[in-house]
Amino acid sequence: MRRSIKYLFLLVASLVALLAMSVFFVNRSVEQRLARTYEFPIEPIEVPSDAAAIERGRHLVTTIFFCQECHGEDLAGKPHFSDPLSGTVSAKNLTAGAGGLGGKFSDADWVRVIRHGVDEDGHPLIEMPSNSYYYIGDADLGAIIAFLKSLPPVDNELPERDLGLFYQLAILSDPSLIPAEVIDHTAPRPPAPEPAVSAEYGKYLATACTICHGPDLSGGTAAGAGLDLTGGGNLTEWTEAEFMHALRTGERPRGEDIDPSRMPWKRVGKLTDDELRAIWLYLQTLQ
Amino acid sequence: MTTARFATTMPASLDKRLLAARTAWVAVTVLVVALVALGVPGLYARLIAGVDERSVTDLGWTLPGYGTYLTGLYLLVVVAHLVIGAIVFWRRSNEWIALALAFALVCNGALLPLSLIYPSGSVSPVVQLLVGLVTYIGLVTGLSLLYLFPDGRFIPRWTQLMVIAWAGLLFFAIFTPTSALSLAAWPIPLQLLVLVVWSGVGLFAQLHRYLEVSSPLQRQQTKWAILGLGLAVLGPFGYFLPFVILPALSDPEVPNILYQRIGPSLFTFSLVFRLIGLTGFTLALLIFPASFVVAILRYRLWDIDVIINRTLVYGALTGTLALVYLGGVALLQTMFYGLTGQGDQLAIVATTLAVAALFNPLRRRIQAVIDRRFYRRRYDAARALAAFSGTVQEEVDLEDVSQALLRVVEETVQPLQTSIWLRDIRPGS
Repeated sequence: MRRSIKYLFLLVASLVALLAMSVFFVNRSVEQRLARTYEFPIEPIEVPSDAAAIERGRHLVTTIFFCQECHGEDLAGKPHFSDPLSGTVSAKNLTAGAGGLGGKFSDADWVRVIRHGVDEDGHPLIEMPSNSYYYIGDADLGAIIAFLKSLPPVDNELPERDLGLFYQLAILSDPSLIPAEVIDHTAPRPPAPEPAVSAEYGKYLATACTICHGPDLSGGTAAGAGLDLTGGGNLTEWTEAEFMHALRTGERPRGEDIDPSRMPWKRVGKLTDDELRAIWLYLQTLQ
Repeated sequence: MTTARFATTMPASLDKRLLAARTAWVAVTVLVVALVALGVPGLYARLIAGVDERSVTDLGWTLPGYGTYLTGLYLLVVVAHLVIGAIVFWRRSNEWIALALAFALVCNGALLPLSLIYPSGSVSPVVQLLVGLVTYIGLVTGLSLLYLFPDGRFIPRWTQLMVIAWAGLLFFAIFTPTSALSLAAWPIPLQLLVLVVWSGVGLFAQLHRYLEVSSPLQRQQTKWAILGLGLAVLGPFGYFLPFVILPALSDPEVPNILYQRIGPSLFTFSLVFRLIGLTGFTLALLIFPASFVVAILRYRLWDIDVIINRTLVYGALTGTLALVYLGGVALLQTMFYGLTGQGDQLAIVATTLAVAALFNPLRRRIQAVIDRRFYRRRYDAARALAAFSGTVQEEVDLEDVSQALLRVVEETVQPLQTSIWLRDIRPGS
């Protein structure tokens, strides 16, 4: 009996030691990646201040780039996780209020954050889908920054990031959670297409759709992921009118409702007719 | 064991009080069963609504499976407490201390499920009052047992003041939660202090009793029972601790775009942890009835071990056969379907026959395991007798058989002295 207790104790002690070593390894590995400093030249962006540009920025931020999904309706940030195992992770306050980035960011800092996924000190961000936003054209990025700078200040001090074990494990299993690592920061960027009812412009607008619908829009693999939007996928029997009706009203052609907690159709539905037609044209090109 | 037995010697007034207490136990038990039974659909719906469907699906499970599992887990706790409480009541409700245990078991087993089924503020005042009554009885009797077990007397005597004060504190906390006297309205550090002081004094009382008062047998019985009583007092508080430490466990829903951006691994990790935590904490609540089962079976607390033994054997047998049946039907259906494209009926018939064939061998095996764990002496005696019968079959020499008989008597009965008288049966003697 005593011998078996001794072996049991040794087994438990070994498992605890192994677990502690694994936790240490995971922590070190992720923290080292997050401590890295990224240095690259920031392309100068013209940030306009006219009303039309700010309105263009508001349109993009509140519709197809889904910024409010994570940063909150007033873009003043909100906590995502706050427990010892997931850690403390928040989407930043983008306004100029207390705890916000608006009052302290230069235009270059905004570019660094949105396009490259690194903060003002060059350290990588997590969660921010910069690998999708990297292709936003200079004019649109300037408009977005102009809109963000025009936001009314909201005081919202959020806690500093402190990743828990579960979040660190998630980062190990998916490198794109640190977008700075998967972006080629010096690669030439294709010129942004001119706004038009064209498949090319539709592709440009649908960049952020890849977050849920997968990199080639053929549907995600996780539960709650977006549908297959390619030729042989879930929209095969839809017409352009039905596509636009679905995104405007949340009602599919056969009358079923689109769950707004899964597909943010209320945001996408605010795109203009031409923008939706452009996206539809692009989807028709996908096989 | 030494306990005050009222069945034969109690005066008429005590008899009436005991009768009233027994009637109250039956009424409370019916109330608990009714509250739990009526609340099961609501509990199931609440459990399903409280989890992120995406993480359940990504774990390869379904929402109904998740809801059924946790509902079943909570019901297991209720049923285990009810069964042990009912047996104690049935066999020993003529003893106040056993009656108090029966109350504590029935009410404590339902505390967690009732708090989930009928959260404060979301049900009618009448239901709230009934749930409060069950909670009150459970928490008061649970702590009282810590002070009274095993002989029903307060030792030291001043500890009865602690129980009276505890009953008063809980009364205000449960029935007038917003009043200044309510424990629930006090700062959390003060609440914790109260909990530590009252359970600490109870443990001190048990330690004092253990060292100074109890007989050796009572000490053995007390060891197990105190483990359960300690958990009965601290368990309900311990259960909710993870939700205080890990608030994300209570509210796991995040925007879908964030869920998809992060990927399912973080959420499935959290769900697995949540399930393991819930399962572990819920099963830990079973230690309260289980410790009394051990005290009853192993150290013959209240001499009701035979009934508990049968309950354990047939409970384990039923559970095992149900698992075999469900697993067998699922496995055979898959096999037959793969081979022939159909086979539902065949799988059910084959599994039913297998379960019928397994009944007796499995019952014997479970009985042997329980005897080995809890009736060691009887188990060893049975083994010694079996070995002796083997020896007798092989031995022809009377002297050898006599020696073997003496040996087996010494091993099993352990008398101070043994001798054999062999009757001379020669013809004419």
